[in-house]
Amino acid sequence: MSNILRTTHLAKTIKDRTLVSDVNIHVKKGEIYGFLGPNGAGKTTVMRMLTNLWRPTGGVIELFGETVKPDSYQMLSRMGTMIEFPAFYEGLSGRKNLRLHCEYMGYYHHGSIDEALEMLHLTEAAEKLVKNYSLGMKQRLGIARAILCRPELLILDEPTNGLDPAGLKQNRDLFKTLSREYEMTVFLSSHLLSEVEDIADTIGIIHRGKTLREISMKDITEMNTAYIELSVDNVRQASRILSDRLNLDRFKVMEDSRIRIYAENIETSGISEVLIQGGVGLNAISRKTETLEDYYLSVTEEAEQA
Amino acid sequence: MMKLIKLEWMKNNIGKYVIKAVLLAVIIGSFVLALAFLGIADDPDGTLDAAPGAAGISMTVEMFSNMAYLMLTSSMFGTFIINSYKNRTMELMFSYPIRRQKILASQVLAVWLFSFGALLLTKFFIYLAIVAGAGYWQSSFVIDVAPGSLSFWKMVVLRSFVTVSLGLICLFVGLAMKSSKAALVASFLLFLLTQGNVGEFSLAGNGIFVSVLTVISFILAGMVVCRPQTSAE
Repeated sequence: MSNILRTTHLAKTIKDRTLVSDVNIHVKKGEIYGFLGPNGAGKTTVMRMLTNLWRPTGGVIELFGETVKPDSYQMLSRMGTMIEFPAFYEGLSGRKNLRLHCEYMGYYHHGSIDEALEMLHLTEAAEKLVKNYSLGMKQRLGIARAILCRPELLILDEPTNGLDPAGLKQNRDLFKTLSREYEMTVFLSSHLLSEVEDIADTIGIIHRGKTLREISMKDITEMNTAYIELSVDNVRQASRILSDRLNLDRFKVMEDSRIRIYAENIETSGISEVLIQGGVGLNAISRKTETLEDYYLSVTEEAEQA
Repeated sequence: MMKLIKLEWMKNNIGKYVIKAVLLAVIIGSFVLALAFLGIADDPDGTLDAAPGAAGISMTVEMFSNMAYLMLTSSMFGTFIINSYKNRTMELMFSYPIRRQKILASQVLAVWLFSFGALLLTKFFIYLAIVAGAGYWQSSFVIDVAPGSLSFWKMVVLRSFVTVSLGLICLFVGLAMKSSKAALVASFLLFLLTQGNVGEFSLAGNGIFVSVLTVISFILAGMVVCRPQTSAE
């Protein structure tokens, strides 16, 4: 699959402040790409550059196979964007805001506004003034506006902000539909890793303005290590027993009196029996698989220590 | 470009400004008519209490309408452009496949054209009312309105052009200070500078000064349009 979006050594400096210094992103056509990073890592800066709002001070952005230049305005007609909180003409209704968007984008397709409103469950609120919308409704209207003109590439910065659990679920389903059925490429950032985990095909992790890792979710799942997690009343004694009596060396003491054992050929019943015999109070024991969150934390912690 | 200008009017609810313009015309017109025909500015002995050189009614009409429209134009620039940067709708505009310079030019023109047209119409109706009133009542002011004279209307158009264009200086000040209030204050100060007097000294009617200011207005407008800013850049 060809890349619809690619950045090479992308950098942005404002005055003496380096916001991002080496961002390399490869987004394939039709996939959902989760762009992850801690607060202040540079996610929004990158998205602003991708949407031509800010000009890079270094590196190259390629969109739809062409290098983005300051006057690459026509590319914007192939993109739907929502950067940070969406801005609207608050004195106009939701429908009028969408109509204006169509006018500026030069997109005239009968029924498209109704369809976008319906997809985001905003049909009933369409005639209400945007200033009377809740935060979640504004967020949904922002997404409706981004997908309204059927863009090839959707760039969404924290699209889950302000959404309730039902809204989150609707969003997940919507992005999957847009990607699978409408062949839209979705590039989104979110701090809710579980949301990204559920829908993304590929993730990119940015930390302190640099891309740390780009990996497909399939690869993460394949390399995920299963582990057994214990919650005990005496971590030190439990560790000694695991090491001396069960000859385990691949375990990690976590916060909150938890221990993770990375061993495949061992039963939870055996561990609990030995610990109880050793006088350790066992509060909980279960077998788990590493989540995207675990992977993300391990990558960012590793970068932090480096 | 005309489509972009119309969209600007639609977005910013131009109907609201049409009502404001009508109200301004009614208020200024009523005041000027009261000055001319009811003698509200006369001394107790019945003589006109006007500033030196302002015995003609056109001077009064020009002064009040230009002052009001310089402030209205600045306030519109505040809403159409300065606030767009503040509430981030300008970023939304910059996400469209349209040259940024064209977007800004359409916003500047949307305000300029409306203000210029509304100011001309306001003056036109006030002058007509004065001419009509002069047929029935005695005026305290000299009626120096010549509706049949082309040179009279040329002067009206020229003064309106200059007034609305001075609003561009206010736009520049407002953008530099990121405040629509600053634009409004600038319009007031600009009016004092061009119309006020210190003793017998006044720059009002100084053609060279006004011409220089108008040229500066267009240079500043060019800078606003040609160097569109996005936040933090």
